[in-house]
Amino acid sequence: MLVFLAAALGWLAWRVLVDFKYDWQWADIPQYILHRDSGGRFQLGTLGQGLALTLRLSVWASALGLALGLGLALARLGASLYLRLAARSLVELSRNIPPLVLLLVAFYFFGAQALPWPRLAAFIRDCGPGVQWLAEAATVRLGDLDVFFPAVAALAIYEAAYFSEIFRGAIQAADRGQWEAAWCLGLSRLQQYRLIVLPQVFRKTAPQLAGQFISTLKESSVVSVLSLAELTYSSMKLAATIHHLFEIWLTAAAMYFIFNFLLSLLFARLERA
Amino acid sequence: MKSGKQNGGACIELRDISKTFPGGHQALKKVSLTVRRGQTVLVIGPSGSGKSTLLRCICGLEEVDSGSIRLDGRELTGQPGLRDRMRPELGMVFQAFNLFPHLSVLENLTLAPIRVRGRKKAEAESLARELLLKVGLADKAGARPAQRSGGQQQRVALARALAMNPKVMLFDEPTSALDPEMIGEVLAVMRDLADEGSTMLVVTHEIGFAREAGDELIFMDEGEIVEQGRAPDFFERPRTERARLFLDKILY
Ligand SMILES: Nc1ncnc2c1ncn2[C@@H]1O[C@H](COP(=O)(O)OP(=O)(O)OP(=O)(O)O)[C@@H](O)[C@H]1O
Ligand SMILES: [Mg+2]
Repeated sequence: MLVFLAAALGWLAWRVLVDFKYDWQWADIPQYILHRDSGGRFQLGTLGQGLALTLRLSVWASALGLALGLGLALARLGASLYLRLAARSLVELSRNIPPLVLLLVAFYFFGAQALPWPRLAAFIRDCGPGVQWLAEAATVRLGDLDVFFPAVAALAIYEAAYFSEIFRGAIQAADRGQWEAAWCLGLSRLQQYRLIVLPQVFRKTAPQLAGQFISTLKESSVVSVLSLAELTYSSMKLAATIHHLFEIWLTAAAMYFIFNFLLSLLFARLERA
Repeated sequence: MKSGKQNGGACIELRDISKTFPGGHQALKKVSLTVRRGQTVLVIGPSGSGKSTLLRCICGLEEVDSGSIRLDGRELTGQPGLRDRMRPELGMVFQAFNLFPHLSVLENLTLAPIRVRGRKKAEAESLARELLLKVGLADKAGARPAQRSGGQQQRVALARALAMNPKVMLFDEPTSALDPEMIGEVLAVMRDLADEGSTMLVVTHEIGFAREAGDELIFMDEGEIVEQGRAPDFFERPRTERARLFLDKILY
């Protein structure tokens, strides 16, 4: 077994290092991440902007996913049969549909049909350059809103299923004595959740929630099929124009990896603090 | 032994309350009991005799199947609205403390007065500090409960219940989860409370405390009140066979 593994690795190394006729050109790559413009200021390149958009997508999707996930968890633990069923259905749907298909459904439904994105874009433009700058910094070029928000919605629904399972497990595992003490002091059901149980649940699930955020960052690459210029789509486009396939995809992989890895280190650090 | 305050009006009146758990076990069988204002009533009895269930039915954590529970003359059973408003009037102290671990000691005490009673923060905090002083923990206001010893945690839990200024304090074996050397500090606070004229219903396994701290002693077995009277009489001259068996077991 080990011999076989060693042989396979050796063969692979030989293929890559010796047999592989490829003209590596790394020199061009860094400018696509970050470069200086004519005025000497740093500007994000195609890939840098891609990562920035990936990040914005993931923050929106996670924030909405968290809120929706919490709502689903509470609905599933609640007294109303109707809400329990509705929440359960949504969770099962999003767990059993590939994120890509979910994304396309969301795009054709919310993006193309249901919501007046151009009017929203026009409205933001009318609010003046300050508001427009803020809106674009937080989301995406106004022209892409009709893609951005369906993408966020699809990712949020997909992530919400996982968030809701994390929350549900932690709420169910909460010490019964905490509920009882809060109840005896006269706190309402809502206050018991808001002041006693949920703060403890957030604290306890923080590592899982952080992990889920990183997983959203990775998952968001499916959005590339909608031609939204997040990191994966930016890499595809760049590869199509400059043809340094290996360099670009290795760079994209490294960018995802380094960013997510640093993030997980940061979360681990915060958690210990 | 306290004296001169046995004449208060009825604070809690239980009439024939029964409770059967879903599994079919009848934990309370037509229990009747009156706790007068200012009185300390102690409850002892073997494990599984229904002592906790009795307290939980009074404070509302369990619903009774039948019978009547009156607080200051007002009927609580079958009155969800009133029952809800009366929750904070029944101060419960649990065996496991059940302090809120994400809040400081002071916040544990001020949370309900602010959120439920609508007290101002400053007002709630000054009352909380007074109570911490009373239970001997004035310097621990900023600490997290989990950093404190069991005895200190239980005293905080006691102060938390007192902060709501309840009509009656209910204790469910408040010292059973404590290391032996910490039991005394909690019992001392409870004794002070009793001497000050608080109305208390205390389930305990501490025989020394049961002997001399209460105005009245109740012995429960198998969901019934088997004996009721003054503690010295009970310990020296138990009237029933069941009580004698129980005393034999715990005293020797
Ligand atoms: N939630 C419940 N469901 C089913 N049975 C229960 C429940 N709570 C208590 N019981 C049963 O009711 C009986 C009385 O229990 P209870 O806890 O009131 O006894 P106790 O006198 O407090 O005992 P201990 O001294 O061990 O605390 C026991 O037989 C117990 O198994
Ligand atoms: Mg008990």
